[in-house]
Amino acid sequence: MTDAMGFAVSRPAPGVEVRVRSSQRFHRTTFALFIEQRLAPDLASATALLPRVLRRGTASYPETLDLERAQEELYGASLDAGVVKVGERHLVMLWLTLPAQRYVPEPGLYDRGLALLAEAAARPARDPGGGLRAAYVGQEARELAREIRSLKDHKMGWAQQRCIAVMCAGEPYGVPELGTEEGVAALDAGFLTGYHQDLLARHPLTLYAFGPFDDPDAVAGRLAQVGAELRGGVLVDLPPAATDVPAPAEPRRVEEWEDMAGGWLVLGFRTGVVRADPDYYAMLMLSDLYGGSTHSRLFLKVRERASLAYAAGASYDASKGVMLAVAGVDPARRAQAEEMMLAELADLAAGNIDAGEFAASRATLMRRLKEREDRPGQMIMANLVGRIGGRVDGLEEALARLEAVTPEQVAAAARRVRLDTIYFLGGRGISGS
Amino acid sequence: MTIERRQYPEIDIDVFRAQVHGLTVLVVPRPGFQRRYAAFSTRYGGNDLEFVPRGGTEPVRTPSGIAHFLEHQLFDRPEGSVLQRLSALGASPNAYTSSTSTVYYVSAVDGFEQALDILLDFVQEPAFTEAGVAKEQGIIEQEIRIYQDYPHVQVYEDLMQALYQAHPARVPVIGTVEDIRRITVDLLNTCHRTFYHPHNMLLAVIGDVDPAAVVEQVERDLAGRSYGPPEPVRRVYPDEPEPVARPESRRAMATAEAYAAVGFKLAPPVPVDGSAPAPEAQRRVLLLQLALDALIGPASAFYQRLYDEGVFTDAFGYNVEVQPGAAHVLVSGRTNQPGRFCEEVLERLRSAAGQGVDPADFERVRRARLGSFLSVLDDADALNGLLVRDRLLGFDFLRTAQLLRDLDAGGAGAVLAELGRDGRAAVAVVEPKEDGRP
Repeated sequence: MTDAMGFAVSRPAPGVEVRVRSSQRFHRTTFALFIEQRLAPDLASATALLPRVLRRGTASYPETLDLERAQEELYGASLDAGVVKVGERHLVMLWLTLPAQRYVPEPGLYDRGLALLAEAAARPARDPGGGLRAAYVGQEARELAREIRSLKDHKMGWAQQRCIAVMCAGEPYGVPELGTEEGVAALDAGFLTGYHQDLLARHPLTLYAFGPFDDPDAVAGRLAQVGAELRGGVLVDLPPAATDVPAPAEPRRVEEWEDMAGGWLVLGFRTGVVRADPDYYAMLMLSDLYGGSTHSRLFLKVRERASLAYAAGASYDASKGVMLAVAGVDPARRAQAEEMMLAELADLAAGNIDAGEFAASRATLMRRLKEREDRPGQMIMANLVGRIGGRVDGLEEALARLEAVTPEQVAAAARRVRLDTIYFLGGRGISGS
Repeated sequence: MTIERRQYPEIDIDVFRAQVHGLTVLVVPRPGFQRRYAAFSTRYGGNDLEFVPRGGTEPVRTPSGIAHFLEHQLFDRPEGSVLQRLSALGASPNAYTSSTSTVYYVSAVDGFEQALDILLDFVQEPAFTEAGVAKEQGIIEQEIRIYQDYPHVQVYEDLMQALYQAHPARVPVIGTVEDIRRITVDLLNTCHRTFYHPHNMLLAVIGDVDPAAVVEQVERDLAGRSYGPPEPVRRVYPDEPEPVARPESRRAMATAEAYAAVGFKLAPPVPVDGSAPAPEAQRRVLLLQLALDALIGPASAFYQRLYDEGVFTDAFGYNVEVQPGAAHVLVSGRTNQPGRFCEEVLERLRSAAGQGVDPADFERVRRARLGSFLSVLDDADALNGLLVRDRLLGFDFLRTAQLLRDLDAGGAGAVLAELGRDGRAAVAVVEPKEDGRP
């Protein structure tokens, strides 16, 4: 069968899915492999560390140097490994991109690339005792801990992460995508070896391919073979994200001060609307009207008209039903910015939506959906996130649903939004210069 | 209107080129892609601080940051921000200013023709006001402060000031708070009149479009505008001595980890007056990039050894940066040992200057470069950025696959020799403040 987004779907083994789409217009081919885990404080650090270790070496290329060289030999194949948080799932992902076969003088490029991907997932470099290489585990734990520490250097992202942590403390969604320094420090090669086996054997696994294939069925067949070989045990049951958590009667308010020049205000909202909700497209419209684009309220009013902020915007995560509004503001003017940001949302909820801004948001969201078709990586992620969230719409259906949203529905969606947390990260003054 | 077609059969790409009232128009058709993308660029960036205004005789010296400031201000129109007009069509507009260029771009699926009309119009028709300038000063001051919190930005700026004694590459594109406050409507108009003349500009369109229709649309737009005769832009650049300004720069700031950057000053392949580079220049720059891939790239024994020790991290990069009258190798990254980071990189590149590159390594990185070049072709943003950057330097990015075919390790060894010269290297380090870890 072919799904709504044009991926041909097959299920070669329990909990294993293969999805393949072909288009001749690309110069590059993308493969991806995902393993799903629940997002949990006691697992997150291991889930984040594992792909880093897998990326260091395989049975055929145990030394990282040789694995890197194998990729260069494959005309700049790029093997990337990481984690992604989708609602309250935590996914290990491996990506492999390759040039399109027709621009490369040697045949068999995709088979060689897929072999590398499969090996990275299932046959990592091991110590003589059979465990994952302890040296790699140690180095990658060190690097992951550094990456976690340096998240603080990207102030806006750090402020957003802190807001989520405060707002969803005690919920899986509040667990940071990269885990914690303490969690990482507690891991060793022995634990990670067993964890890897368990993930492969018992967790939902999806393989994707999107590229200029002459014979997509053959690619699907090869992926099915890879997937079936990886599967071993009884599938675990992963819970869906808790999406109906109420906001507190009085919003939480947290301020944190650091040695920095600027300030970042983040408002955390509960929308109660997830991808499978009938109001999903109305909520998408609301988040764009509020802060998704350069015609949005936060950008126009807070940044442009009031000069209150250098940057201002909003983002909506439909996998959890959470919306964040963020503004880079002078610490002295944070109260004014907060008031203005909340007033704009209230105005939208009151139904004061003019035809111009409404049309602009609709046209913007439609453009984004269409442009996504040009980006295999985004299409794969959208397909995956949609499946986890219980809704995969094809381009035509998504456009039709957006077309059908009315301003009244958007205002109604805005009335479902509850302020949960007001977080501010502020600077005490300029340092170093 | 003559439209010249240049074919790149090895990558299935054709480029159509026309001169429209002095404006160079490049169209890269990409059948089957949804997204249509237009970028309108001028050879005017953070480096162009001193010049003879169009119609004038004496050079003027402008405040740092003015090209970037002008970029922000062009979006402001009496009828409202251009961003809103484009956004209303569903188009996505943006702009950036580099040391040598300012690029305004818009991507659209439907309504592309309208979006292109708006792009052509607002870039050519400034409406600067005192009120607009005052408001922008507030916004850019905040932007400058936000940058001051980023260690990777600070380490780069420090390195530029260590490498260059006089060339404006040492001045941050964004400018300083003091200079931004000196910007006036008159100054902005002078800069616009001088640098936003069709002869100094380039329009690139990428996507599923008909080149003839694009050229015709541009022709219609420009026919209605009155520009004076072309006049070459006369930029005043100070002489840059060959040695670096100082070999080392250090600062402490609130950062979780140290950042280090190493620079090697090169003989500039593109003349300071912006005239065409030597025919070999693009090939030499590419060779140097390949040599760096082989010597310090992720598949080098050097990189892996230092990664294992924590001296290098995932946040590691290198590049050959070329501007008119300036060029350098840049190697930078996050590190646990900034001192060793700098020493190891300096030592590695200096010793390679005498030894050259291993042919097997070279062959591998050549393949890898071909692969990364091909992947850029599917991404209109990245393709445009590189196409425009190279075009403004007198290079042709799309020739990369052809050039790669004919390069060899011997050539890479020859270009590396330049890194062995004394007094051309500098390092910059940003370290965590002892008392102020964030």
